[in-house]
Amino acid sequence: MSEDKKVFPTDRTFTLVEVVEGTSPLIAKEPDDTVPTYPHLLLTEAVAALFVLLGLLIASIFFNAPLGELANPLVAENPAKAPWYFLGLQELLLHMHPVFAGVIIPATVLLGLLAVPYFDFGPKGEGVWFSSRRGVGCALLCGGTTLVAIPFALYLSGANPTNAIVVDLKTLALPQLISTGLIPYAAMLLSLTLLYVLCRRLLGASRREALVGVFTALVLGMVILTLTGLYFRGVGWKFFWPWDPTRLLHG
Amino acid sequence: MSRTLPGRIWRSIYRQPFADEEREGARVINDSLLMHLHPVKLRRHGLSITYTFGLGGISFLLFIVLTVTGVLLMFQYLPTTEQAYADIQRLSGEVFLGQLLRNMHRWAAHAMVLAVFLHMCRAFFTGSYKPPRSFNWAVGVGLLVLTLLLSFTGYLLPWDQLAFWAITVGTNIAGYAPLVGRALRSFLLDGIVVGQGALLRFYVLHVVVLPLVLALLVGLHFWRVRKDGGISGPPLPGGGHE
Repeated sequence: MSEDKKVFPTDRTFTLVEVVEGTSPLIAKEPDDTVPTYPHLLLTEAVAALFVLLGLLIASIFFNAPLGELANPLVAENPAKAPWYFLGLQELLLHMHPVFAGVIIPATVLLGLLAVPYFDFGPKGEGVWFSSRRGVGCALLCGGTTLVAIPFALYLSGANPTNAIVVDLKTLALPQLISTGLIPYAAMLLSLTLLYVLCRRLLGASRREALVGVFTALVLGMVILTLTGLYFRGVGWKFFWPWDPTRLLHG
Repeated sequence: MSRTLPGRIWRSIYRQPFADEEREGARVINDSLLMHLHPVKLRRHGLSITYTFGLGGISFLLFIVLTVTGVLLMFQYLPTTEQAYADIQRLSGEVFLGQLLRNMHRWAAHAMVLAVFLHMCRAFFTGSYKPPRSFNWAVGVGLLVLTLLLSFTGYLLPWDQLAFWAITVGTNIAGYAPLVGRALRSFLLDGIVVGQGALLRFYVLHVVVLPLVLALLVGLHFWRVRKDGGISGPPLPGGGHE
């Protein structure tokens, strides 16, 4: 009986008959950790689906989908905005060479996402939000830094007629692909690397926990750029406060 | 054989009576084409709402809503530069429940982009990309890209100023790709500016090609969730992991 308790620490409806050597197909499965899908999961799903459909219906009754004037290739919209999920990229286009803002940066993000599981493959930290308390710390550190740094940079750029953040890279005596492309791109990669190293050294984070921090910075950065394009850009793609009545008027 | 007619009809479809015990509950899942996407049993952990927030399921539900509303919209819409805008206006004015239909399609599309993105964040923050789920994570990234493309191609169809200039800006971005940019842009637009050719291409991509690819990938995604051992969760205290 004592051996029972040692091998199977929880309460069971069965007893240990014999301990044998060998492999078992029961990997990561315990007989009593599970619940039947019917009714537990099905009920949850059904209720969630009803709430989503209800919310969608209410939104669709009270808010009409926008419809502008008939398309006219001769009269440009001002500001001409991409769909909202690309506004982060459109904002980057203002500050960077289009090859980097429109192609290389999105490609880097996608490839980075695809690569993550091949560099962080240990089972530790799976199944827990932010993996650990230290993971939360990494997310707070990197997220906090991003929340301060990017709006500050955008504010500096907004106050500057050339949209430059610190120095106007366009005036450097270098090819545009390097001055407004490679240099800011390298600066971005460097900032992310710096955040990673900071998590590892300062917080003693594992690889996974530091990645949580970097991912947080990336997501928040994208969100801030998108919100900027959505609410802080107006006529001529200039900086406006969202409540400025002249923001979307044709000038 | 059941003695009543409704009972006989029920049994012909579902094989078992209304399930009120566990063994019959298992058959509800196993004996049904739709339900057997689910495992018969799942780890208690996977039920926790604050673990998944149901985001994957919500994305799928929105895709179904978009398919249904989208097919209904197709009955009222012609993808030509002369007709498209007038069709959308007619939809809001004359067609029974047309405005509601269009609103549902539009808001569900925005919601799906958001839900898929948040689902990816959830998967990342819970470490659900770790082996054996690394390939399914890649499939998920593909699904996010497809969702964005679906939304983007749909954006042009009302053929109003918002659509025209958003797609002009968007395809200009695609045009900056080194080497293939200009080819990609003229492939998407069937020309150098947004016009009839672009409208037709976006329409076909939006209503046939992309939904089909997305549906196939969703099937793969769901299948892999099951094959990779169900929804992710913390390793068991007994050290059940490899």
